[in-house]
Amino acid sequence: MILKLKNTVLTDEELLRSYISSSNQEELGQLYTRYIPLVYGLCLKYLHHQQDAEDAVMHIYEELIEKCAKHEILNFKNWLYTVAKNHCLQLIRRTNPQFFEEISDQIVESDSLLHLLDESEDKEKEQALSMCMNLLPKEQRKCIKSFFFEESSYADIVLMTGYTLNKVKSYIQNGKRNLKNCMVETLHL
Amino acid sequence: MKLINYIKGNRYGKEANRLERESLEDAFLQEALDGYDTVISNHVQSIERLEEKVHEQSKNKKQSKLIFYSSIAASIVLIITLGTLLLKHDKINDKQLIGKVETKIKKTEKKQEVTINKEAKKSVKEENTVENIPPPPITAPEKNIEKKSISAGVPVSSNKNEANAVLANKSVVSENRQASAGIKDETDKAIFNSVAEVSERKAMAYKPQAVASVSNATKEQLKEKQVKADKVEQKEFGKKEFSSFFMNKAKKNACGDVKASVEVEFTLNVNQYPSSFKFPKFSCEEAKREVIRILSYSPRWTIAAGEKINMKFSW
Repeated sequence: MILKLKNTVLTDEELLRSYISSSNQEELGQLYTRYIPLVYGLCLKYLHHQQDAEDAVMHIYEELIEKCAKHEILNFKNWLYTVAKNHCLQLIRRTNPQFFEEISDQIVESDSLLHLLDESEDKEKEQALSMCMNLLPKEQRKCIKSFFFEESSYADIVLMTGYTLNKVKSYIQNGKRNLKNCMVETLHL
Repeated sequence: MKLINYIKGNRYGKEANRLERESLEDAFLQEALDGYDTVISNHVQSIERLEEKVHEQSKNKKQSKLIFYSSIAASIVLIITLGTLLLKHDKINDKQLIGKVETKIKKTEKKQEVTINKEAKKSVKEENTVENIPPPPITAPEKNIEKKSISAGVPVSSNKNEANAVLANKSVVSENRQASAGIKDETDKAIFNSVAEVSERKAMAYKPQAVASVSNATKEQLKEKQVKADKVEQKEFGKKEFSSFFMNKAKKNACGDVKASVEVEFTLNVNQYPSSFKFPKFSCEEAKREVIRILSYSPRWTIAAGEKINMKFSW
């Protein structure tokens, strides 16, 4: 109990260092428990099966016991993401060798878009943004406006628009990409 | 908003939006949210189950590690204790075996002493009471007697006491069991067997000192015993004593009606027993044989070895 309370205060890296020095499995278990929802969700995305995802979560934990001691881990969360994703991809390759992963530009785009939106004070950028927004298709514009300006969740947008969840996500993603391209062209970045 | 709340179904409002916007920056979160949207089920239960499993596994690993190390430690302790016990047990066995051998030797020595004393007493009685003991059937001529003594490597004696002493003086610590076939004395055999047992069980040079010490002890004790036996017989025995001894033992009417008379010359051998008999005169062959018989049955003489003795008997 004391260990549990103490470990909740520690950061990921502190807990990891403690585990490496003491080889106390409970510490690693504590650290991994923090990321079980993320790892499980990731596994669900790739494996599309609840039981397979659960098994994968446990296998990844076993992998961690061996790998933690071997690797120098600077950011546990990012490292765990890579390990978990690779594990899932390996599982898929075993069952389906012709698996192609969707290349998402979401990660690259999102940062720049948010950055642009954060500096909305800049009038030039604001004008360019409003112009580009008007150039977006209707569905994309609606979803982007609701999500970024009205702070509506995907579920809210689904309710408001009647689109499916996947459609909403897709409109937001594509709208973000188009908006970015437009902004770059307008501002000559 | 916490992810677990989002998974539970709280996907409306600004809080959910904040998490979703956060997911745009965090690929891990983004993919996790996609995953929960992909498979519709009660994921909260699954997560709780997984958390329990991880917790148990980490505990079990700790316990298994503890069990592993403790089992190693226990096995080391067990090996050490067993080793020491075995060594001690082996030593105790050695001691017990040596003790048994020693007690056996002591017993046999006591028996021998008793028999020697008895026989010594008997011989003294014989001398004093002039009993007519039937002589042993020694019919071998002079040469044969000498040959026997050479082949056996020990002096030939007509006395039983002497024979016992000689046998006791034989090699006790011979390592070859087959040699025991040549030893007729039971006590010698017992000593021999027990010593051989020790030497065999201790496999070569494992405990040679113990065996050697036992054999040395028996040798010394047997020597002492022989000296004692010799002392018993160290009463004066010369011409006079032999003539009375002869008169007690000699068969009467050896030459029929004629009086038997024999003149004999002999020398005392190294062990002070009569040997190399010569008969310059004798009344009959039977009388001569009688003299040979009694001479070969004679006790040890106290006169110096090698001395020539001439005696006349008429009875």
